Amino acid sequence: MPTSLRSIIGAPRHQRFLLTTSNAALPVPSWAQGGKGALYVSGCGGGGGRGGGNGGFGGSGAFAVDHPVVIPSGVITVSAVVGAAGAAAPDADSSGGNGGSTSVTLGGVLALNLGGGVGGQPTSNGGSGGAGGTPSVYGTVPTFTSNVINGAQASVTNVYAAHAEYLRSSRVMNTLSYGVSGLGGGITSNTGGACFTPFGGANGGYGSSGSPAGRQGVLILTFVEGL
Amino acid sequence: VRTFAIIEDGIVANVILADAWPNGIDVTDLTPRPGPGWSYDSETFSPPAPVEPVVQTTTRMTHLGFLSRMTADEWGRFEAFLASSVEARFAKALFDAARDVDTARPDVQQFANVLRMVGVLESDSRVADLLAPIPADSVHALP
Repeated sequence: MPTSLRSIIGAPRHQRFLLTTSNAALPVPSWAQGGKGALYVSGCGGGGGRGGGNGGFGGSGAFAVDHPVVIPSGVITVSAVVGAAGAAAPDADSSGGNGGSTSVTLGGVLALNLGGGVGGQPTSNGGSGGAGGTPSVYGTVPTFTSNVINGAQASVTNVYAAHAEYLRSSRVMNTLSYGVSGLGGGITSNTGGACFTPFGGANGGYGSSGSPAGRQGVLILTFVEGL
Repeated sequence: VRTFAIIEDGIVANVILADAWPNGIDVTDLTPRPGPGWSYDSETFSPPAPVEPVVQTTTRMTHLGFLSRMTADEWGRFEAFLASSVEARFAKALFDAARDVDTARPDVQQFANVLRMVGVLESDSRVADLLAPIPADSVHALP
């Protein structure tokens, strides 16, 4: 019976970090340095705050699921930034704050940026929902993203159809999941931009004078040894 | 955990959560709290200018929504035109049979232009009025 290679050399090593705050110099494990490892990034940008006077909801932060980043030789730390929540509108006539961007930078190069959701507009200014956050990969915005200003037009179907289209187009890694835009906040429905975790979403609720804030971003970084 | 604003060229480029951050300005205790897009003059933060409301429109509408754009005088001339032309009556029959009216369709635009040619519509601006998109929240708008 042949002996499997894995029984001899063992499985690749993993190390995972859950970050709810930023880290300017997160150490790369020694076994992933020297061009021998990859980093898988999951997370999202911060959600936008709601517009004042029961205004439009904020958009969700862009998100990524196991987005792979090759760790270049010579890189020994990663700059990991966690976007803050979009602030609440301070009064009935102000918009909700935009969420902060969550990002990963290696060797001074911005490898993945997950934009924060845009804050909603106050009722006195039309009350439109904020756009979902926009992701970028090495500075390039994936073309499948949907970024709709008026939440009433922001269709879950459209976003995921676009996402699926991208996944089908990938010959090498058809299970790859890039970050996609969050959804615009709803102007006619009492829902914020879609979110799949307690992070990155726009917050719901009502406020006659102010508005609720969004939710903060998050990062889950998994270093994987290359064999 | 504190909230820091990252400033680039006098604008808040990002707002992040961290215990400390190089060149970041601690805005944790500011009310209202600045966010991306705010300006910063080295002393105070200012919110961005309000965004102009975006009016969503569509070119698909009900027959009533389309026809109600005509004035009574225009309708009177239209009926006279129908009485004088079998082609006009045929076009009107097709119009009536359509499921909806989409002013982006070439045949609808041609219909409006014919109304201009025969004098039912007395100016080019009335053609534009007839073919203009309708607000998406109008009761006559169709998805």
